[in-house]
Amino acid sequence: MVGKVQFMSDTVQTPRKSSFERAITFLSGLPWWAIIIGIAGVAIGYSVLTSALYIEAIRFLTDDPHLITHDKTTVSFRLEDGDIVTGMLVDETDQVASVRIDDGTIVAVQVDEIKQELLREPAVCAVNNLRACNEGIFLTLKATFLSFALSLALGLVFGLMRISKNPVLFAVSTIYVEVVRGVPLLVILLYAGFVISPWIRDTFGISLTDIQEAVIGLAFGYGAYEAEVFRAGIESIHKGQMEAARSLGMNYFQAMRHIVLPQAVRVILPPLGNDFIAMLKDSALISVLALPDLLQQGRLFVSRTFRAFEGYNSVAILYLIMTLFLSAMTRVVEKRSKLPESR
Amino acid sequence: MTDPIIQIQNVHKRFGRTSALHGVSLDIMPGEVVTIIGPSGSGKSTLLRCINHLEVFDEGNIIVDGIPLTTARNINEVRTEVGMVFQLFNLFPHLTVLENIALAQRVVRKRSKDTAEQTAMQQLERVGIPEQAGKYPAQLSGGQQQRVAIARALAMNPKIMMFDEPTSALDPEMIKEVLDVMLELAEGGMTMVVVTHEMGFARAAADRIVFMDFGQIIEQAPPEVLFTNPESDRLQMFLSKILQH
Repeated sequence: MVGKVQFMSDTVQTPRKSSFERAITFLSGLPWWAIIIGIAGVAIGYSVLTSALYIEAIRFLTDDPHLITHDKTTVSFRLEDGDIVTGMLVDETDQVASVRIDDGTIVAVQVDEIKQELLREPAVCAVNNLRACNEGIFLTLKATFLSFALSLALGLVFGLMRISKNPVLFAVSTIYVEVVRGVPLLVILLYAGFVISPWIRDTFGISLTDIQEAVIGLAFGYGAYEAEVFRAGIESIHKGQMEAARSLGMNYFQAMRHIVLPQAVRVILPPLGNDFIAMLKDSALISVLALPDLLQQGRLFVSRTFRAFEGYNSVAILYLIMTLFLSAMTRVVEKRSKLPESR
Repeated sequence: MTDPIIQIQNVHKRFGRTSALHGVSLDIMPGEVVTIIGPSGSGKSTLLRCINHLEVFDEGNIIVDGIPLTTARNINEVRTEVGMVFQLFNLFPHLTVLENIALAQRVVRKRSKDTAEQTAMQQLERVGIPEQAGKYPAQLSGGQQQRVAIARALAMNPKIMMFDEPTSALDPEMIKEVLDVMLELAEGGMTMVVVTHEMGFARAAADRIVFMDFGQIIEQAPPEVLFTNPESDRLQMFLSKILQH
């Protein structure tokens, strides 16, 4: 009995790539200068757009006789002695207004009453909030990039110390890694801001700005993790590479710089990219040092308008957009750094 | 009478509690080709690696080109005179073949980029693969990779070339191309110390064959003598196993 023979179709279906994968493939095929120009263009365009729409959305409601004029950015007050003060309103309570005049000094003016009304016109509010987001995002990214760069430097140094045969270097780096990994990052940031910074001010007379404190705290907190990542990366490189380099007469540092580290860096790009994205999210912690990053802007919005749903939703979505973008970038960098496949 | 270019004097090397080298002494003259044979674990590779200080020995001394390794101020300078070729090639995968050969010249011998690349091309021609200069190691066959490794060591113009089982990781059809390069080197007068199982090469090129077992030199003699008239029992047993096929 002859059974029916079934032939497979001549053409084989290739699995279709999702549009996300197609986008990644397109991005990874671009020359490096196109990627840089693209990122710069997006960054500049966004900044120009949001800053051009800057509008001071506060309207004064007052019958105060001292208030002479006000427009979008400046106010003029007549003082008791007849002088007129004109400048930018930087703060006000019910009785005192602080005005920054042209040469930068801040003058406090006694007033009877100033009431502000938060404009509820949607377009103006939206633009105002966009400006806040812009500033918040800029600070978040700035803090993240600076901290990450510093943590990489710390990670490389302490990572090399961790594999050193010198007992002192090994002990110091191990203590650093264990202590910093054992303390929550939030505590480390508070420590940096309220313990280390005052101590530096008292001992060396150097005053750190709040962003410097935040960057130092974040960088030290992450440096311990990067040290272990670097150590694992270096140890993953076959011992024969170092031996070949030393046999040719290179010293330890030459061998590290030309042979081991270039290969180790390729190996650790995925965990480094991961840590960069994690640091972006952990940068939200710097808001406890009263830095106006994205989270802080969101908190201010919520405390002003009591709209928690809109406020925190927006903040979450903005962080998500940033991390997704960085995720895609990490994948592109990984793809481009791969060495040719072996036969 | 010329001085030996390598003097190994009563060298002991322990790994933890196991003794890898047990009082080894050997003199190698300039221009001599010495092949070291023996079973696994006999200490052949360890001895080789002690000569260029990749392993630090515990007792005794090794004097390379007049410089005792125990008191040398800069081991790296000694290493530039001793080229080493490894069983697993150890080429630098992130550099092209040309860059592999040129790197140490630039970084250690401080040659200019042009000089280094010129020398690199010369060595590549010497080993027979100048057309592979722009490729990455992963794109070459095993035999080609090992020849690049030889060219890389030769580019530093060393006085001594050491080979640690250079063909043991190669497919049979590629062994010949590497051995031919080594034969040419030997005929050119290079001082060579070769750890190998390739008896054909030993017979053709070696001035002297050294048989090691359990961290000691058991016997040494020119190939004609050693293969036809092995004295010790251990060597006879070893040769009977190796020369079977």
